[in-house]
Amino acid sequence: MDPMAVFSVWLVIGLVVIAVYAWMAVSTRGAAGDEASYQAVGRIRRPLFVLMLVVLGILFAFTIPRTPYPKGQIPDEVVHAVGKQFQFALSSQPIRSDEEFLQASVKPLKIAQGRLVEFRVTSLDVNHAFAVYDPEGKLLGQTQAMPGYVNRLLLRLDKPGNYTVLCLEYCGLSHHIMRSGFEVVEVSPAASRFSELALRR
Amino acid sequence: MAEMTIGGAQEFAGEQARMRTLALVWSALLMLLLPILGLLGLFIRAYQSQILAEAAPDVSWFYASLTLHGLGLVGVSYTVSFVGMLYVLSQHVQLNTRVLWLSTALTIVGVVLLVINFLLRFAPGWYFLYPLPFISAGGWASYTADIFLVALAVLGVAWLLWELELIRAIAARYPLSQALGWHYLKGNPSPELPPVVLVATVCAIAGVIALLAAVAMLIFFLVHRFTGSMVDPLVVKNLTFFFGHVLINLAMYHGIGFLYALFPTYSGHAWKTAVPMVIAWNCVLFLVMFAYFHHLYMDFAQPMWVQVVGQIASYGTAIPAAVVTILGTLAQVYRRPVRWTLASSLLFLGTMGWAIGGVGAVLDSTIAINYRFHNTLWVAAHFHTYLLVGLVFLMLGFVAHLTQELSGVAERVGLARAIVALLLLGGYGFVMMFYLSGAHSVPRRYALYPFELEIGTTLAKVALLFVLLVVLGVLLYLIEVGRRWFAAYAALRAS
Amino acid sequence: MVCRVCCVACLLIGVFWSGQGQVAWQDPLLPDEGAVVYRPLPDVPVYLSGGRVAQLSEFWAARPMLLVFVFSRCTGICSPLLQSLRETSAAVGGVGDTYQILVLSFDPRDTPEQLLKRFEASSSIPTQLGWHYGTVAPNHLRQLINATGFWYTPIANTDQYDHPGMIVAVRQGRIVRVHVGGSISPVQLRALLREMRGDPVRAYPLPSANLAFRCYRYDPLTGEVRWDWGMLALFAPPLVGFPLALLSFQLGRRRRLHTASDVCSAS
Repeated sequence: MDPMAVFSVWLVIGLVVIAVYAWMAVSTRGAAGDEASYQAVGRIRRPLFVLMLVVLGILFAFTIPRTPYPKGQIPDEVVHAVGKQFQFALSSQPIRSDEEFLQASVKPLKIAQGRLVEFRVTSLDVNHAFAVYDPEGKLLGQTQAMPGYVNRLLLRLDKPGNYTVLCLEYCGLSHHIMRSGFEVVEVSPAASRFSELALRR
Repeated sequence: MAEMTIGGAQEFAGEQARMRTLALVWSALLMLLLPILGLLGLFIRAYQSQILAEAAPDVSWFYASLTLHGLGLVGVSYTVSFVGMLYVLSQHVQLNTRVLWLSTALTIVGVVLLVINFLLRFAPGWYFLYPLPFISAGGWASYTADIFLVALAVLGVAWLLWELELIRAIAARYPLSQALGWHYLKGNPSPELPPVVLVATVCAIAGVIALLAAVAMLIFFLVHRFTGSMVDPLVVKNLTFFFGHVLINLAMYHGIGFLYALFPTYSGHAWKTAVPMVIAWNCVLFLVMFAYFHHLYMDFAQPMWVQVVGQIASYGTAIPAAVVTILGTLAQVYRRPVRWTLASSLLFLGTMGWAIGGVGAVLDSTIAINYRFHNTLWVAAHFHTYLLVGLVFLMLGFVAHLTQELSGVAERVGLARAIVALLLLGGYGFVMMFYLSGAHSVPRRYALYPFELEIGTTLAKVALLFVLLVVLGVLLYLIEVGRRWFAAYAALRAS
Repeated sequence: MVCRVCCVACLLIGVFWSGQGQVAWQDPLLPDEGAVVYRPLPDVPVYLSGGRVAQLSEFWAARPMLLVFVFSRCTGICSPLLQSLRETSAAVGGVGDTYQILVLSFDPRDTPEQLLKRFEASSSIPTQLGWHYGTVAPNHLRQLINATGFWYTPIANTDQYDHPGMIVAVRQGRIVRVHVGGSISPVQLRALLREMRGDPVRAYPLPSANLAFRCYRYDPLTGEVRWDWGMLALFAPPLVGFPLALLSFQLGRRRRLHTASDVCSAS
């Protein structure tokens, strides 16, 4: 769901609402006020109810199959993401010690283009949110990084370039500078098998 | 109240007078707290726009302001709208104002504690999402978390007391089935049920449940505080969002309660309970319990069925709002000789804000859309629409109505029009910047925006211009309604 | 639901959480699912009883499979693990139908017949369809070991090996889960089967995380799942609030009746 498209939908409906309210307000000028006008608006209730049911029903039916939750696809690889005030550690290997956490939080991670990656996200202290932005600054996807839980986020990384990870759940005074990133590299088909092994740490 | 004795009638009149005083006091609190908390909001947006970069205030002030601004305005919204609803309800049921005064006093104590915490730069955000208040990475002193827990406890007691008093007062006059309007569903409109009684009953039941959730949440915070053991954060998150979501929705419903009662005095057409309204509000009582799941869509640990129920309930709550309240407001206005004053204009336009904010909310409560909008400024956009140009308009309209009714002071029409125009233009311009920021995936609650999302800084700068219009509008409102307030106060003292 | 979430084994990222806000790290000797998950298995020939040979891909193409590494002379974990798996799979059902089990020996001295004799003939549970016993060539074994993260080391002066108990869940030729331990409970097996049929667990609590007031309490040793106080806390507000409201209205009703009778008697 493209955010700008959603914004446009909101804007159009919002302008319609404003127009209706303006029209209603203007209608009060010099009005005598009769029961017929009151009843006329009341007669809209049933069609409006049906319209809302239909529109919301269609929106529901269209969007429920498009939830971001894992649906049984087998990812190409897994990246372990651990959040801690105020840094993320990303690694293709499990993070098993403080040293590995520190190393993973500074060592660059590279992923081959086009891969379906499962991010296994958790936190070591408070709630964070793991949000991935593509090289053009578009939010690709997110999940909560919860202490005591691991959330599985699947993303297909089609564009090569530098991806940014931002924390999207307020976690303290340095929340706005809690960030990480990884690079998605182009891989030619012939070299893809070799590169897959080379890119893994 | 046909069976009331003479003594009972005198007592009723006395309670009415005390109710007017209480409403006037809360009006003053609104006119005091709204500008202060609003100025904190101005500081927040100014910080984000980087125009304060030269002065470089410590980032702890930013997050402390964010915390107090959010907590304060949610609290003000809930309490002032509640008192407004009680004010109109008091025509139909006898409230014990002593309980309400006690709750008022306790609320003030809670607010003072929160302000003290602000000065100590306690900044867990206004969600205070567990375990952040206790794990600050050195951001705030640990004793400020203790002060916060005390403040929560005091506010919880205050609000539980007056919710229970509300139930008691309604129950003293109406059986539950009547108070919920079930007799209308059986085709029997007698006895006539004032709409505010129906709304107040729904709000009271939901309010008690929400506050009990707050009690459970507080207990978990205390377990962590005194044992050092980590409680399951997902359980506490569920309780926190259930409490918060229901509370802020109730605030809006309180506003609708006094809208039903007050607007007919301007439109000249009664707003009566009917079958659609009864069905709508009974559905709302049920649906509002489940809609809060939309705050946890990005917690993949929540079961799938819970997420789907959240989307259904969120969609569901939009329908009664639109087909009963919004449509009802428009029917009150269409081709009627409405007496347009500051009060009636704000009441009318407040429902428009609710509708527009509701569209943004319905979109964000769609899981597939929430995936891209969760914790971006879209969230701030929709609730600022609900609140600033929705509920705040309703509350300002109530106070304008109350002070005029009690004082009899003539309205300065030009000033009233200027106030409405400034609040409208400033308010919608302000929230539009949030919507645009959300559409560009700018995160919420960031003191400064990263270079990849510089558009957030630019839009914050534009938002400031609109905030200044709102500030001017509120200033003019304080001048206009302030003089009415003092006149009303003098009139009450004289009577 | 959360029940299933709680049942998933804990080793996916090797991180533990304990109370007091401290982190405990996983024992590095245990195979780590997180290191091997989604890796493809090499398609190697498998030697079965009766001289049959089948490619590994023929197994996973037919249906998802569980892969277990044992050796016939094992006096340690192999028998208990297979016995547990036999009992559990019989209880859960579906083996041979929706999934199958391939038991491979890592001991170069073993033959498929020796495996059958050691683990099938001596078992108290009748032979089940869907169970296969086989061996692989040493170079292919190395590929499998590398892909799955299994390890074994000979114990000096014995014919034994030191090795972990491990069950690898394979779907479409890729590892989707790794269970580590000397036994497997029905709840744990169901979690593997969920992943194998493409119905993944979206998130899971770290069972080692010592969190109070969960919705469910999962015991990894027994696989038992019990309701915990957190579930009560979530349901308590409406369960208490609604009756409280009803009670208030009932008390109010009595007061209204009382007031009405006072008025009647006064008049």
